Amino acid sequence: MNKPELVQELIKIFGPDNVMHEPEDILCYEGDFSIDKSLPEVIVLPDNAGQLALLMALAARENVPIVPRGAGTGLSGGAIAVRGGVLVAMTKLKRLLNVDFDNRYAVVEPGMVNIDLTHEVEHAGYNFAPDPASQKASTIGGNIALNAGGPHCLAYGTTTNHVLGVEIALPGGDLVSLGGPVPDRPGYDLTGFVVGSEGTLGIVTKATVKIMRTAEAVRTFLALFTGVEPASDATSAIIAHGIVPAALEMMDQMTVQIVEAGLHAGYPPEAGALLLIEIDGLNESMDDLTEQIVQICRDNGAFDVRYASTQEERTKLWMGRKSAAGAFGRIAPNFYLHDGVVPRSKLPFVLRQVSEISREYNLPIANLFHAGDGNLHPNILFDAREEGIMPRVLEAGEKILKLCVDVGGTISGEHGIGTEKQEYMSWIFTPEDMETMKKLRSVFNPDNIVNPWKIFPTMKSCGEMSLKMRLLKSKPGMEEAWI
Amino acid sequence: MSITENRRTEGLLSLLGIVGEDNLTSNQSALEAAMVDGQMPAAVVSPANTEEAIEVLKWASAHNMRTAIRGGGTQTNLGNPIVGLDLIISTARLNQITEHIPADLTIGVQAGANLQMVQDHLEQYDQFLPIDAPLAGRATVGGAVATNASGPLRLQYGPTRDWLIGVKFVLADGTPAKGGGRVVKNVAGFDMMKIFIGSLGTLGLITEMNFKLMPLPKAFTTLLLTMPDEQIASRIALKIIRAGLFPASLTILDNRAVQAVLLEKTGASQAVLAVEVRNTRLAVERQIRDIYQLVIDEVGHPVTYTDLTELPLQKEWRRRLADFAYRPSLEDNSSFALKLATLPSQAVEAVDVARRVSATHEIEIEAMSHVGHGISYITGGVNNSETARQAIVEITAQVEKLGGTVTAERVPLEIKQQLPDVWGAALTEGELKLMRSVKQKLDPQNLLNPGRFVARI
Repeated sequence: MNKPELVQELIKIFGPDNVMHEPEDILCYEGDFSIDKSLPEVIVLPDNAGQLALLMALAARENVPIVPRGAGTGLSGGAIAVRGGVLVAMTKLKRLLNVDFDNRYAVVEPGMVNIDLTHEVEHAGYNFAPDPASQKASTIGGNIALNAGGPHCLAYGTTTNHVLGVEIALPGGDLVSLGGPVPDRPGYDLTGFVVGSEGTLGIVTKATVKIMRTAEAVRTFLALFTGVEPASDATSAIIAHGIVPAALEMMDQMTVQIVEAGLHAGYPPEAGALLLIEIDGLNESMDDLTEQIVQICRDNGAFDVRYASTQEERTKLWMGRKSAAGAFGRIAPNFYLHDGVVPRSKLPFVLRQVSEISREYNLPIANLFHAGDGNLHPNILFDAREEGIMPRVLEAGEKILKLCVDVGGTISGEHGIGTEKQEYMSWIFTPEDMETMKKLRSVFNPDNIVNPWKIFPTMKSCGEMSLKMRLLKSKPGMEEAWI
Repeated sequence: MSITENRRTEGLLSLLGIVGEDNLTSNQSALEAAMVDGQMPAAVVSPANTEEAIEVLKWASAHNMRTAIRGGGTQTNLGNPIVGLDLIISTARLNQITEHIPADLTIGVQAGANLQMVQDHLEQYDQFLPIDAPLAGRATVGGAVATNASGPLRLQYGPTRDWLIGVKFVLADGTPAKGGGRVVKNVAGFDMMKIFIGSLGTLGLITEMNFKLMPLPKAFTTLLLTMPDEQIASRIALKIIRAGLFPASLTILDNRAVQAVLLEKTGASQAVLAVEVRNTRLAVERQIRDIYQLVIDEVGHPVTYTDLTELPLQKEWRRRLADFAYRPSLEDNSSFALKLATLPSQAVEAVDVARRVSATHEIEIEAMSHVGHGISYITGGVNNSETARQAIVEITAQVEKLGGTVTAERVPLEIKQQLPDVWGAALTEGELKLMRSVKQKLDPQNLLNPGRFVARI
């Protein structure tokens, strides 16, 4: 089927207003927030699940690659049409279908923006717990695809803990409902397998998610340290002391200074590192926990510990954290963000090594991350216009990830593998591990037409792809585009 | 000697070479003790490590040996009758804690590690694994994962799937593989943990698992509140959650269940709502105060209650709730236990349906509902297999009509053999197609626990 024929077929399914194929329309969908880019052939905007079932039937019949896309805020290339084909923009499919407070769940369409669900239920004292930094833009469908995290998943778990069921459109056109609000549905936990599969099994068309009762009391602390090492020690000590805060975030001095200059969050720029610690629960717990946290921070070298007493102060403290990425632009036009995870007790060692890598490659690296989970977010700051800088940036990033793996960690805590890290999968998984995963992918997506060429090492080079290859790959049109 | 017998004998010799004489049992009484659904295996083999497990499974697959995996043997009755059984792989020697770094709040254990042993170890560090599966003293961690077992504290901590962060397994053909890892956040690759939780040994042998842990709470207590009836208890339970009082568990016991599990006979003839709270000391006091006030407001007058604050008493109570469907007074051959999964708000209604259906078959049941998260258990005596079977079929159909599911978790074999499916009929053809395909991809010879899973997978 050639492109004009495909467009005609798609118009039959979606209507002329919901199919775009002009170069200027397509260009808006060539990338997400990762480094890689690639052009789809056609964009469709579904309005209901039935259309997606028809699309999936067409795709299987004609071997057309299909790539689902939420808000495009992903950081690993998951929404990029590497094989061209049809990109499905899920943004119109965003209705709230049902809320049940007694049974603590909501049914939503996948295009619903994360924060909108909390806004829908907060009047009754409930919230949707996953809170990625992108939550004002990212969709619940995208959160499901990547098993998104966020600061508060320290206490409440990542997205997968909050997804009870999904309806999914599969290649061939089957629309299957999995799981649901009733616990322990017999059989294999296919819902849990779909979450975090990065859109490589099918397209989620509906989701049943948990909503949680919001705690009556919240307290947010700002603890200032001379450097990242005492801050890491304090992090370990809090956890070791038997306190699992709602969130426990760290920023190093570079991040503090950049964020403060750009956002005025109230972070003292003289701090060598800061911890943002949040506890929640019943009012009666607050003073007891406060006392312990302040003491632990001081015992581990904090020179100042303060806490936000009003909602306004709290919001300001969090704004600095959640909007930090935007502030990096003040220092350098580009940043390359990684997402490795290490055992919490390895944080001091790993952060020391990261600053070694920064020196070795002569690249500034700003760290702001989910310290409580051991989930690093080193941001390599650079100017992509500088001749020959990309290999250095990629190599430094690679070295950081390798370091995470060497200490018993992993290459992604919440951003996903996508196209960005697929060549690193062999650092942590054997060919047998990945073969087993692919066998299960074939249960849902036998011909690899939904979100193809993601997660697993590419067919071209089974092992690690050279930096040169990655650079070539990042230019649109270099892959064998579909059509 | 039949072909099967022949195959079995040859096999034993090859297996001896893998694990050594002491770890291969073909002794009659040991085999009888390991029977699954009345079927006796030719041998029970206990690999000492993953390498041996790989060799055993390779051999079993090369010889088409239908294989069941055995942990503590507490859930051998779960599932549809096994279609055939040649070999049992016991995880008895895979019983170690492989890694516990208290500061990381994670633990690695082998499949055959005893659940209580793991909890006792963790308690020394003021930590615990939030999986309160039944019969923890005998159950293995691998078994708890493979059966997706849970208990009353699931309301606060969530199911097993929220705690398992890494799994190593050996597939039916002897291929070792894994998913996840040792860190608490990890999105690299597909979530293999989810596929193995509750898979009942039908996809592979779990050899090792990593879990997130929780610190033990600073303070806890359980309130046992006497309730006028179960409907009121259910309404109160849901109000406690909506009021933001964060109970750790909410369990309703009907009067017969109260008699079956109560620590001291109080002579109570009413239902009991058991509420556990776990928090800082001051918060626990507030929770108890507010919960009791809420109860008085709803019931309209003060109710009698017991407050379990002492640790040993508390532990014993939790154990009895977790073991409800497995309590010693229930004889394997003359009782049944059904698990009812419903929306929390429908748990008591489902139990009521089960009670009415049972009554028409002259069966008296005991009922316990973890009403906060929607898992209920009913137990009953079997005087007549056929009427018990009819009752189970009808209860299953009616609870499914409510939108719930029923698993006939413990039933005498003669009843099980006559049931359409111990997991009920709630799954759609679309779901089953995918599940059959999962099984086919990972165990194409259909050798692992053949026929025991949903829809005889």
